[in-house]
Amino acid sequence: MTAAEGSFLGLAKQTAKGTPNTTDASFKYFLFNEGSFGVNSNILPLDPEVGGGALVRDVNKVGVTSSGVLTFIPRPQTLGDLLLGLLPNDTVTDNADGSYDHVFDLGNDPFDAPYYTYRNAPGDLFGEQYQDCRVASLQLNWRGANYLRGQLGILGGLPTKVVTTTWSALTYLDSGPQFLAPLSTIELPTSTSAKVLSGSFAIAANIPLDEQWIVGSYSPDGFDITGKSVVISMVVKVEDDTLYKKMAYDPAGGTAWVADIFKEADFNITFASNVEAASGTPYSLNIAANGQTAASGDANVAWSVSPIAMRAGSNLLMSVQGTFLASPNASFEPIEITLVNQEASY
Amino acid sequence: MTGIHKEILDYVEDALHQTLIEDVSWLDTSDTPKTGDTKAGWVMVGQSQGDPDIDEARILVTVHENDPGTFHTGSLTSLSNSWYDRVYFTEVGGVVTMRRRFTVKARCLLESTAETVGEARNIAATIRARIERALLGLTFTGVSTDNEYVSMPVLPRGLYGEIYQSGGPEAYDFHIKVRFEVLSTIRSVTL
Repeated sequence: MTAAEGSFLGLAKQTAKGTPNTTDASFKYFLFNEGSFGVNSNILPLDPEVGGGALVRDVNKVGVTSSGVLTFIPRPQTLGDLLLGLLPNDTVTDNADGSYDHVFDLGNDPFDAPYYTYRNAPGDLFGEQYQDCRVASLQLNWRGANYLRGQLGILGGLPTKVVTTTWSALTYLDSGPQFLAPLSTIELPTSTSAKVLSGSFAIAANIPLDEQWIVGSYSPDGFDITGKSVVISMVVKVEDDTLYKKMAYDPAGGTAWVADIFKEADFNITFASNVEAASGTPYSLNIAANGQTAASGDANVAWSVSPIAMRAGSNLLMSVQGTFLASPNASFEPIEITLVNQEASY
Repeated sequence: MTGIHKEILDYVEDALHQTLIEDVSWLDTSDTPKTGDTKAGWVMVGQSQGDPDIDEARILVTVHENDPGTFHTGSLTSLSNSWYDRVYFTEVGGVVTMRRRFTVKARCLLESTAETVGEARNIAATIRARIERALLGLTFTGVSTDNEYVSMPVLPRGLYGEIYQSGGPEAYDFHIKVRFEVLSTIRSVTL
């Protein structure tokens, strides 16, 4: 049977790099719309040589990695694993009602991230295991009257073909509820609702491999993270010029163009589900920066705006983008994502 | 074991009962139409089959799976295209999300002895507006079965409505139909 829908994709955290997790009960399998996950063999053709003829004389595999790119609809349980992959510090609060608050942030070592073992069974025909994987990018997209959707990029180490007889994919499948745009809140700044038609939130880790290929190994020596970037973009309906003036001209709202950049980190972006993690507590996802206002001088999100789009027959729209910076005030984390679900720990 | 259709119908019935009957006071006469005149007589799932009779109910609201009007020829509606459930999308790993479709029908049998034609039209328009607003405000929290749950409430793009006036010289007979759909996700599907 080769229907793509019959495939399985699972992940489990490793204790250390080089130690793949093979315990079936550790795996969570998650759903996705489309994507691919597999072996990337580094194939090197032999250099052309004088007297060698017209065709390439040989090719060899000289390295291997695993990688995957997926589009999916995030679920509250497995989304936590993906967030942990980029924001490696998880502070958990047990609400004593069956729900847990997970606050993910960069922690003491912002360059750190856990390693995961991924499993893949395309069409449930055969199994593959990819060890030492890290989340390279996670993008969450939203638009009105739709689910919160995501795109995931994974980069990892040695792939291995494995049997699937011990996999209990359906038992550990996260088919939980979705986050819904109609139940979500976007306020910029806090308490000022923004009329957002669509948007995206992207975190990426820079994992250069150029200096990881070492003599004596087919696999990269490591997947070191040299930097992380966090960006939020939104398409907003324009109903007055307040926000536009601050972003395009003067953060203080003046009419003259000034060199200062509008920085505002006191905003509320929350996605909720119509399913409850506990009575009265819906599953939810909140994205926050360091929470400081523009007036404080400590805000860590720099905002910019593209020229207002004018199209006959449609409303005025503007595209805004916020780039998360290091927090000027060490007392406040530059980014915190709060996930409410029923998972006790990651 | 129960089915998601029954769960959804019961949920919508309770919500419409609250909005169209319990939240409407007989005593408020300040509005036009007078609020009490817009109080529905009955809200129920499925065809009334004469119980109650429309003459007793005056304003009768029924909630249906899909649209019964598409099964019967000669029904009083221009919304006659098919309104069947269909797959919205599948996800790799074994989950199917369905478009679950339903219809709310309301019949307002109003008499010229009680209200003028303008007032009668106002009553019908009020009933329709209340139905649409109630549907768009529902979250369907907790509406689920063992392996299926409502994953997206009423889609604004999936809301359709119409009013048709019939009736003879002594009566203003308004037929209201509002179609709506929700998304439900079926778990643990072997694909």
